[in-house]
Amino acid sequence: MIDIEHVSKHYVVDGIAVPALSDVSLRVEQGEVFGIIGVSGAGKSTLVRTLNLLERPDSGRVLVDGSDITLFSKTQLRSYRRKTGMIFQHFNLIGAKTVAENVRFPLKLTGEYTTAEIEQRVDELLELVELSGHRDKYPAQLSGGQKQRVGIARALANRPKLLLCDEATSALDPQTTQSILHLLLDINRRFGLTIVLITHEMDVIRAVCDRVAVLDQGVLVEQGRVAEVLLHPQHALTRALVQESCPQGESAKISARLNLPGPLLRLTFLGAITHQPVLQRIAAAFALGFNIIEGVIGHIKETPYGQITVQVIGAVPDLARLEAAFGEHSVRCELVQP
Amino acid sequence: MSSEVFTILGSLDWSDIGLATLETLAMVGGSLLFTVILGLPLGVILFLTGPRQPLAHAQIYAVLSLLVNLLRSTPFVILLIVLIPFTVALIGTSIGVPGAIPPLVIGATPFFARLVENVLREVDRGIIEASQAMGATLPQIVFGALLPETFPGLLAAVTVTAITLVSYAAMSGVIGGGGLGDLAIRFGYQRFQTDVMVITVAVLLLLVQVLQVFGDRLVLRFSHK
Ligand SMILES: Nc1ncnc2c1ncn2[C@@H]1O[C@H](COP(=O)(O)OP(=O)(O)OP(=O)(O)O)[C@@H](O)[C@H]1O
Ligand SMILES: [Mg+2]
Repeated sequence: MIDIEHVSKHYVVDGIAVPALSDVSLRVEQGEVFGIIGVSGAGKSTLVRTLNLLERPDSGRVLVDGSDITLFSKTQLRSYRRKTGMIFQHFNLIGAKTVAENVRFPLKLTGEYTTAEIEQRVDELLELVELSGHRDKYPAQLSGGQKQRVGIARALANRPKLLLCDEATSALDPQTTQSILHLLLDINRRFGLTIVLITHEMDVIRAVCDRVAVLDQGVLVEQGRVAEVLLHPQHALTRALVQESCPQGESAKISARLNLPGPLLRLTFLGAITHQPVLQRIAAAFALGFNIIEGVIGHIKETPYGQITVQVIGAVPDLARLEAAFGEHSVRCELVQP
Repeated sequence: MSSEVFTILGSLDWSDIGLATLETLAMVGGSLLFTVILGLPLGVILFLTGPRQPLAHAQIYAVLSLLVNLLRSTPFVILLIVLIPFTVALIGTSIGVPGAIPPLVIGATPFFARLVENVLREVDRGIIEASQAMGATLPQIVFGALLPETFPGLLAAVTVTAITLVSYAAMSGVIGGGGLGDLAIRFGYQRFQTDVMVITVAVLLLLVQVLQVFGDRLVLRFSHK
């Protein structure tokens, strides 16, 4: 659906060129939730804003369904933007308009709908975001989560094919964040809407994204399926971001502290296998004991996963055979410490 | 003491004062109308062509800004006198209520336009960006987002301008503009009738007070913060 090809962008601050994006290329598939993660100043906002040309790249192409949006005329760009929703960290609602008026605004812009159609659509949208009871309130009278729901209703008004989210949950508390993320996921499923979201929190990526790209100082350093990137991060920054959201990988330090003998293995479970007693089966088959040193079990989007570090207790067999045995159960096994 | 005050007040020609008050109201109302009609678009254009705004244009902004500053830095009394030929050419007279309106409008428009620009600058950039992201045209952004969002601020700017116009209108009495200023000059100053002067100032004060309270009420009524 979207192909970002070799996009670069710099800003000029006090006469000095500051690069914000350097030769970024990525592809977003139709219907997926694509996450872009990075620390503050990495260029995430700049990148997502090139997708509706709120920022124009210096070079490179932004292809949406095959057409380069950087070549669009003003009129083409406007109609493209009307089919591309965007939500913001600080909601950007019009404070002088009620909830219903805010949602009505994008519908009135097109000049395509009759008043009755607009009113019906507003009702539908407010129902979708569960704000029907608040239609005549002003933004100042709403909570952050409610404001973002208005933002979402407004962004969806013209039935966009693509939704851009610039730190949509960063101003919200954890619980509200969850409810907004659920709403986004629900919309993604129900309407097959493609979502590109940026965040600095791995938890957000884990909760809703199918694929993720990691941005570091304007450079794309890693991208792939969320499970792959989360469970086997390659780049140092990715590892740091994963650590931040769920501290792990302290095994080496722990074993040194406890002076643990025997090899340490990291086992990664993904999918239904997570809930199977694999460890026990293998322990029985090899007449071994496993001592769990640390680990996490959770969900990536809706897929269960687990990643644990175990100390092998007993007569250690051929490690290759052990690895193969785990492999048969689709459990990935890596040697952390011999 | 109190009977003395009564005799002073009793000797006044109240119908003169009433008439002068009506004239002042007409001058303020008429010039306020034209000031808003001219100053609002000027203020919007100043804002839009300003740095980092949707129509950012350094030269146009610089020229408009200079023009506004020039008119604002000229003392109003000077403006009144300089504009006499222009006013005569425009409406055929430079005295009375009609004659006072063109200089009042020209004096107040740049002031109001600058207030409008400042009010618009207070709008969160995010609102303009969100509108752009929705595919709004510039007129749609201005009329659909910027002006509604700043409506209370614009009302406050109109209030301040109206009050400024009250004092400008009084000043235009110097060149025979009519109204309370004219009365103060002719009776209070030239004929040494201090009581007329005092009453004139009291009426002007009352006018300013009423405008301010009324303006504040309106602002509050339309504010949804
Ligand atoms: N309008 C601008 N003018 C000048 N520099 C800018 C502008 N916008 C962004 N930058 C710079 O470009 C770089 C990338 O900024 P960007 O806003 O894309 O980062 P971000 O990853 O979204 O950060 P954050 O998480 O803080 O929002 C930063 O160094 C920033 O200072
Ligand atoms: Mg940002």
